[in-house]
Parts: sequence; C-alpha cells; structure tokens
Amino acid sequence: METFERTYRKYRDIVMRFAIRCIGRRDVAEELTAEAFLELHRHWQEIDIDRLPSWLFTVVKNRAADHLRRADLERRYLSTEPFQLSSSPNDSHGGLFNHAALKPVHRICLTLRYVHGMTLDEIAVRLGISDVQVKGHLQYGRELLRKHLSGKAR
Amino acid sequence: MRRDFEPDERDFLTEIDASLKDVRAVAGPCPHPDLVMAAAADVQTESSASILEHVKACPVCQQLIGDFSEYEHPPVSEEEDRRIRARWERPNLSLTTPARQRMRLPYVIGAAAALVLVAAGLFLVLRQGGAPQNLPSTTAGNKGGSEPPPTVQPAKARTAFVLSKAAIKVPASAVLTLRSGSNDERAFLDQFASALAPYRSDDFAEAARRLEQLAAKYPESTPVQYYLGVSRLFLNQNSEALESLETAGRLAADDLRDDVTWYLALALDRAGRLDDARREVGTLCSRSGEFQKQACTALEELK
Repeated sequence: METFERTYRKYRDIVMRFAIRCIGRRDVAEELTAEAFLELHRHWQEIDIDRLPSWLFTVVKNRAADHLRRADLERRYLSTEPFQLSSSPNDSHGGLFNHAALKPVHRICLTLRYVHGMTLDEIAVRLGISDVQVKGHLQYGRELLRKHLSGKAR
Repeated sequence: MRRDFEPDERDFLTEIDASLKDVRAVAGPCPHPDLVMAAAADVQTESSASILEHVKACPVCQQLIGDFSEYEHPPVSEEEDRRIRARWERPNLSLTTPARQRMRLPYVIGAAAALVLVAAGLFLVLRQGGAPQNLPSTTAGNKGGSEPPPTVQPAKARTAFVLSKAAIKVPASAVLTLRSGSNDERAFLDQFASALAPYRSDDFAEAARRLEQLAAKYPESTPVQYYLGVSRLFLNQNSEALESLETAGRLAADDLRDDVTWYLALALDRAGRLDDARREVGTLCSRSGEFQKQACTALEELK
C-alpha cells in the first residue's frame, strides 16, 4: 500500500519543477510545492492515487494563480510605484542573445538582467543558483556576444 | 538605468542599445517574466490571455519560455525538503491524523483527571471554612479568599513581542466575496486604499477610524479586520485589537494567515492569555515563512 512518505518522495521533484515552470521563481515554487503536498496530506484518506500527480499539478496551478493575483493587486493598488506589466529596459530584441555557444542558463540570465532589469539576487532565486554564479554567466554571455557583435561589424 | 549595473554592464547596454531599438516595435513591452511563465504553463489569471497574445508576437518571451523549460533546475535541496515537510509535520496540523489523535487521548484524559482532582481539593478546603492556609500573603486583600491569586511571574525581558508595523498586503482573497472586475470590487479597493493611507503615514487613530467604517460595511473582509487590529494595537486599544484580530483569524485565507496569526499572538500576549499566545507562535514557529524566526524567539520567551 502506498504511503504518504513514498508518494511525497516519488513526486516531490517533478512537482517542484512544475511549480517553477508555473511561476518562474524557485522560492515561490517551493511554497507552492509545500502547499500542494499539504493539501494531499489533508486529503490523503480520500484521494485516489491514480489521480496523481495531475491532482498535485492542479493545486500548484491554482495556488500560482492566487499568488499572481495577489501580486497583481498589490502592484495595482498599494505599491508606491505605478502598476506596469513590464520593467525597463524591456521590449523585444528578436534573438539578440541567440548564439550557438550560449546555453539556456546564459540566455535566461542575460534576458532577466538586460531586458527586465533584475538584480543578481532576483535572478539567482529564480534559477536556484548563487548570485556569484549568475554574475559568472552574465560575464561569459557578455564577452561572447561582444565578440559576436564585433565580428559582425568587421 | 538601474543603479546596480556595473560600468561594464552599462557599456554592454549601450552596445546592444541599437539592436534593442531595432526590434522594440515588434511586440510592445514585455510583461513581467513571472506572468509570462504562468501564462505559458496555463495558469489562469486576469492577464493571461493578453500575455499569451504578446508571447505569440515576441521572440524574447518565446525564447525565455523555451530556455526555462530546457534549463535543468537543481533538485530539491535538503533545506528545501525540510521546509516543505514542515508544513504537514507541524504538531497542530498532524492532530487531524487519526494516529496522532489516538496518541493525544491519554493526555486529554490526564488533564481532565487533574482538573477534577484540583476542583475536588478546592471544594474540600472551602468546605472546611476560610481561605486555604498555605496561600501566599498576597491574598490578604483578596475578599472572601475563594479564588487563588494570580500567579506573579518574574518579569522577563521580552524582545520578540515588540510591536512593529505590518507590511501592507492585499491578498487575492480580499475581493473573493465581490464580483471580479465589478464596481463593488473597485469601490472596495479604492476605499481600502484610502483607509490605509493614514496607516502608511503612522496616523493609526485616523486609520482605525476609517477601517472601523469599512469594517461595518465589509464585516467579512480579512484585511480590513487585520489592519484595524494592528492599528488598534498601536493605539493600545488592546481588547478591541484582540477582537478585530480574532475575527481576522477566523476569516483569514492562506495568504494572510501567518500575518494575522503573528499579530493575534501579540494581542493575546497583551491580554495576558499566554497559553493562547504560545499556541499561536508555536504554529508559526513550526512552519516556514516570514514570521517563523521571530515566532520561535517569542515561543522561547513565553516558555
């Protein structure tokens, strides 16, 4: 018979990954994962195991929506800054950071930093790495793109 | 430009500026990446449809979504695992499990038996006439001597239960009882923002006055009761604060639960209901969140 502990171990990582995909932030994703398993714990006696992990994903999605609505309300009504969907310097740059030698982690760092203007800490928390690592990825990305741009200019 | 950009980063932004400008008109401003990721994962929010429209036209957001799905996120760390588990392993929640209920039964029986013994002892003493002889001298002024004196605790230096201003939050649940996007919702949010304006500037008397009016109109609103309670704590209107916070505690959804619990514990402490205060901080101490650390300190101080 399936125990809660075994079920938790089985689905913990995929639920966490799904939560990160839903929200883009590891710290909030952890909270959503915890909420999903807490719900499962509360309903353990009546839950149909065959509905897992989709049941957990649904909880994560609903909680993610709650989180975003809350953040949205806060931004709109109580922030001292005007509500905006975007951060500067935003806008599209159509493949600007596309380079064969760049990995997804480099492009994510470059986009969040130079398109969305995030701090190193904000990026680090989203990727589950340290701010020093983020700095390293950014340096690597900048150097590579500079070479690429200067090569184009010649 | 952000102040935390290093000189080399500023140069880099200048270098890519022309390319940025070339493509700026393609899809308009990009939404916040959290909202983009949520929309891509089919999380339904008010803005998800318009965000998906944007994503269709925006190669930057498309790339970001693709990169996030390709990126190999580190597995759940031991620390994260511990915090996740703490949510259901905390004692007050596990009381709902049958096994724990069975374990708890002997304690309940023991406590009930102890109460009966104390009551019987007191009855016998009183029946023999007069006040119990072994009461401390502080009972001398206690007319009739039928009630034991309040226990005098040595004063302890408290640091955790210092009242600080609650951060302003408006959870989604604040408007759940109102129709989404309706005039009611907008009216409520406008009035609530107006009521919180004096709270922002530490004018708690005016904040309490406005929030009281709002509470009369929206008695089921958790944030209204919550900020009213906190304002009253600042005004030292402790019994009224406790009343508001208890109401907020009954109404609170998950999004304001910890905040309400913390200030409720503070109000209970001020009211001298130490057992209840201990229970509330115990709950906070056992689950991860912004109040966990201070709650654990408070729990130690209340022991």
